[in-house]
Amino acid sequence: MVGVRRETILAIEKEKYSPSLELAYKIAKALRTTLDELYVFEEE
Amino acid sequence: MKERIKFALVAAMLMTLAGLSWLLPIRYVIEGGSAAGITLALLLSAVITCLSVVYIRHEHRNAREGYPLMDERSAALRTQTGNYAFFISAAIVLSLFAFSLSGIDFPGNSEMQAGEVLFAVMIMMVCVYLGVWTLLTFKWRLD
Repeated sequence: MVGVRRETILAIEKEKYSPSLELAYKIAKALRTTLDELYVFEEE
Repeated sequence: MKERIKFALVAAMLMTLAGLSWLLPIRYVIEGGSAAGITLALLLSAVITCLSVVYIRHEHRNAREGYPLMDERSAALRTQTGNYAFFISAAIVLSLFAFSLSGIDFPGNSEMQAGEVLFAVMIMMVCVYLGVWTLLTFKWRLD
């Protein structure tokens, strides 16, 4: 659906991988939501 | 369809590699090589075959469900594993050089020429690089 591997989605969910802006946008679009609602940026 | 063709090519290459890897232990057995050599060759072939089978099974599932063979995370992991593998192999080679310069004799061949030593070290560096690269790729990619 968004053109990435299953492991990549799992890694994003487990916060082991930060997706590119393009992929983040594609995921948000696939889930019919916005980037703001889907991701929370936490400063280290 | 394109992803399935890519998977088929990778699977064919891995199966060929796994199959060819068994030629070495078979040759050692036929020619009556040392037990240590045969064991090492068998172990290497078994590891290559096992990793290939696990990888092919995993990727077959992905390909069947329509997931791509490579994506942006795979590309990032490829670079990362390459860097790790290079630094680890370089560290091992440098350590070997340090030991060699400290006057350690090579077992059974204390008069080894510098060229032979360099060749052996380079081969070892390549083997360590490939080994580390394979294991890290395997771990991180299928994680």
